[in-house]
Amino acid sequence: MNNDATHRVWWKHLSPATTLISIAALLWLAFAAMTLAGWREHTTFLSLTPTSVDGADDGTTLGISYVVSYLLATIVAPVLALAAAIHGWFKRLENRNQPRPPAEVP
Amino acid sequence: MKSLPQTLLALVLAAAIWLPSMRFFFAPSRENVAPGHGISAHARQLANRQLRVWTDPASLNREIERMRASNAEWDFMGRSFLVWALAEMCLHNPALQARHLPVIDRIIEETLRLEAEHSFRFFLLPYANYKPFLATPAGSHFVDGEIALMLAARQSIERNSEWEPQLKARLAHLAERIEAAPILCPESYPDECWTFDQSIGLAALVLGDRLYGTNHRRLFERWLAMAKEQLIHRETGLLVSRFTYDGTIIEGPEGSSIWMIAHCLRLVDEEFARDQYDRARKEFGRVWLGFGFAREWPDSWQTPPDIDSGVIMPVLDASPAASGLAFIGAASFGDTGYLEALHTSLKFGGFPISSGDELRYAASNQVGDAAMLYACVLGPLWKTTTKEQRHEQ
Repeated sequence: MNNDATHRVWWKHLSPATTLISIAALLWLAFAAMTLAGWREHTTFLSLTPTSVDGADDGTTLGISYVVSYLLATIVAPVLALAAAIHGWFKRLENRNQPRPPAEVP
Repeated sequence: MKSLPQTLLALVLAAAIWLPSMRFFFAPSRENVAPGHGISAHARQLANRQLRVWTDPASLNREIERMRASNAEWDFMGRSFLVWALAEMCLHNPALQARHLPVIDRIIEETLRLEAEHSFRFFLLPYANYKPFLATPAGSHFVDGEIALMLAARQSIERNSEWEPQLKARLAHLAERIEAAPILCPESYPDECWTFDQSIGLAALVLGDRLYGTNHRRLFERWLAMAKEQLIHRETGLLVSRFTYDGTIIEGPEGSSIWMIAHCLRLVDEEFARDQYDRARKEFGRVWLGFGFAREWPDSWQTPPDIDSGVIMPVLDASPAASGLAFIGAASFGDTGYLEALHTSLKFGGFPISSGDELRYAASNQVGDAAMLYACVLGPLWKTTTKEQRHEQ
């Protein structure tokens, strides 16, 4: 079975605005998932304090992942979402300025 | 092929809109930063969490163990900041005494018990044991000063006969050790003095003078003259943070020390303290896109990060410890613009966790939250003391 053709073209059909908003949505989803999983607790590594003292603390890795995801969700994702809206606005302007085909004479 | 330049332009425009607007989504409420509002909802929530921890042995052990795993000093300072904060809250609103005084007394009792059982070294980093203290008998001005200020703050709310001899003895001990030190600065660690601890010791003596009518003004004048001559970093005009027992400078000014130093020195010399704050604000305080933070070192004095500075944020050079203590400086000196910017950063990067009527910051720990609480409620004790000092003069 050859899926190459499908792989090659599916993303090309997405407009830049849709791509931007999709990436933003993914970043928000990832952040929401980490928050629901309770990873916020592990940001305590920022104050050099362990999450727990039982010796099985993998908090720093989870904390770093959470902080990176938070920064992506709060700084990058809104920029992508806004850029999608601005791009859509560019497209509308472009369409409005394009010469219209001559009206058909009955 | 018009799409790529259009997408890039859209991204640049979006960043130009979003980045300067972000701060509005993290701005604190006015009551958190405007002076004269008493106890804000933010402070009440922080206090509720701290009070619950101190009345629930399991939570308390967990918090203390986590901090002691990194730094035993934090265990001690968490107690100090919390006692000072709860005392200030009682002075704001005397109705809180019924709830706060028993917790204050418990913290002091427990701290004195640990000090008596394990010696002052229990609250110090391990290197306190690597060489002997130069002064005899050995003692830490860090521990003595903060305990004295805890007791003095507690007695300023309501005089308790149980604490009276403890406080008087501790104050006499402080004054004695200051007088005996070569440059009026007792050690916090072997052959190591911290200006942070010196300023807290002086503040405790000022409050003691107010409580008992003693007078250490001559000692304060001599200490200030010595500090201005020997402990000022030439390039910045700021007090250095660490020096040897005979006054040789080990470490220049640092953000995690100077804000508290300036706050405490307000009780000793308001003008000098204000000058230190203004200089610290210029050297360490930063506001970027509406977010406030503090650096740990000035450009003219750089050392590697340590347990006091915390993880330094690259590019911005922001230090969590210096930024946390900057709240105390900004609140003490009524720098509302900087305080608002600091609160904005805290809401953004402190990772607050609210549960019911409690609040804590996940990126912080008990000592960080207690220092934050102190910054939110400080005022009445210093205000009354300085007002009385002016009246006496």
